[in-house]
Amino acid sequence: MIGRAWRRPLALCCRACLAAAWLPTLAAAGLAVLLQAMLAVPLPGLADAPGARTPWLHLPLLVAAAACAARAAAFWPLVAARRQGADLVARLQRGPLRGCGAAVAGALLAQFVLTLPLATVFARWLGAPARAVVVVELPSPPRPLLAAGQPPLTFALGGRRLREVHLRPLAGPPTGAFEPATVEVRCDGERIGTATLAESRQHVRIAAPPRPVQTLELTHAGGTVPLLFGPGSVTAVEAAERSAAWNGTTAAVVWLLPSFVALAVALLCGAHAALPTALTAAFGLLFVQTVGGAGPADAAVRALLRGHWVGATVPFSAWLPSLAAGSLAMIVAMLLRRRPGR
Amino acid sequence: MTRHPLPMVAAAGCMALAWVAAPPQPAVGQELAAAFVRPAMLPFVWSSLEEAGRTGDDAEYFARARQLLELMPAWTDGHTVFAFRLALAPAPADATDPGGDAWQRLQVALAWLEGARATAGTREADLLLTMAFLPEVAVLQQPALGERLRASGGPAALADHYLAAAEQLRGSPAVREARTFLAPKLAAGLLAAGDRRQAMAVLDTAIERSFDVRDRALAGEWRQRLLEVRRWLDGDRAVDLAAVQADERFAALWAHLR
Repeated sequence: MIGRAWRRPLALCCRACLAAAWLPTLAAAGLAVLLQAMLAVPLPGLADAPGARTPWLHLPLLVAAAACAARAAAFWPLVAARRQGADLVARLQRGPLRGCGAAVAGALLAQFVLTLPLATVFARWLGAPARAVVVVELPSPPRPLLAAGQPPLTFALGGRRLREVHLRPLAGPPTGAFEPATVEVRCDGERIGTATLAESRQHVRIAAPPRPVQTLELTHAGGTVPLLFGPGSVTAVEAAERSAAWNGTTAAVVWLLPSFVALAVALLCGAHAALPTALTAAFGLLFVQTVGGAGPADAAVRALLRGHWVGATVPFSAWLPSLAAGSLAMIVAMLLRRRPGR
Repeated sequence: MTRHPLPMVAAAGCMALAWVAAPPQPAVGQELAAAFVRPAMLPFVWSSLEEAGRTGDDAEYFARARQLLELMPAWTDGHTVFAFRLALAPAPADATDPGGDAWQRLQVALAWLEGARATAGTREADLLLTMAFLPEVAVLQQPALGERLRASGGPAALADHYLAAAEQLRGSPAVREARTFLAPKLAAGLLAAGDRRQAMAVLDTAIERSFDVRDRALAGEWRQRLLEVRRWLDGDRAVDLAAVQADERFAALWAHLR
């Protein structure tokens, strides 16, 4: 039974992808190490910032994804049109996608195997913290302006145990002689700190008591600078720490989404186009969704290196557009392949 | 058909000659590589910088800024903007030694700009002029930094150091006059540090240089004020300091003229 499964398209494609992609991935990781040592010369006195090292993790992850996608598209003759052996495989292989779906799954499995060590061990080497913390963006209130004479801003926390509260509001022009705004921060009515803010996006951390908190309240306590607490201006860091290994695993799973979309669109193109066209579409989409930041992969890598829990920074709802786009492309590819004559 | 070895030998000889005549420069290769990488990477580096400013901490923001400037090392305005932001960033709310924290950031920012001098090209003098401004602006932002710099002559001593370097590179009248008009602050800093002899030397130099100031009326008035201060510091208590005390440009010296 295991022998039969071993010869199915999924396993065949997975093995082919692993065989083809491990060396480029390793070489890319080595190149990333070299480039990081050559280019990222730290300025003495500046604090360490692992969150800024995303390019060096993106490089091997992207190479692994691209190599797996390329090998899968080249390996399974039905991914693109006008391939040698396609007719024979089409007669032997059942199912609406004629094994193309299994080939995509095999490529994704191979990519996961290759990227897991990168997202766990290599990320740790790049400086990702040993434990991850959950960082939650608090939704801004309907009227997010805090200034003299304005009521306090209240944020619901739903009983979270906090470690820190981060404030990063937008500052407006002063309403009188310039005096930085003073903001009192309260958790369930208890004052936990005061922040002095004068500039837009000025980052202030306030330590919070490690007990369940229902509401966070910001009160204007002085100054002439009005502050706007829009989306992303207030974030809460939970007290509990999570496993960095699980964080890396989640990031590796999130990194499958761009490949899924890219391979699904390659299948769609490949219904009528030849392999080079399908590969070009796949590579373009991979690049835009990873390095280009259009999708959850870039945010996942950034969160991983910052030591933020990827599951909170990139929740499942953020996966849905990629899953929907990939699934839609697969369905259309399936419909195109069902036409007589294929 | 036999291949004649002569063309191959000639080609190898030409290569060797070219290598000896113009040895390959690593910097040229780096610049060539950067020229290819730059257009592909810049949009993403910019968006990463914005993201770091929006959701990251200061360390990440400045690390991203360094990555951006690695791609554009000759962009002196960029170096200046980010180094100033670093030096003038507000001290953390829980900082126990705001003066020490500000001093640390000023040193890092000046080291950053010092490193940028190598690639500034014709704009090196402009970079030095902005470096001259930075210590004074930083002291205005964080007064505790002034205490920290007092022993070494205050921010004016640092400013004078960079103005002198700028003057050496570009001896324009504007740079020379900037140094001349810095003299009261520099002398005050030296007096606060207990270096009276150096303070007198600074005033003497400023008096001498005041003859080069293009606005003759201003030069005469400035020289007169400097001479009054010089005489008073030299022990002549008969000198009338009313004009000096009324002149805001000499405010830094007022505490030493009582």
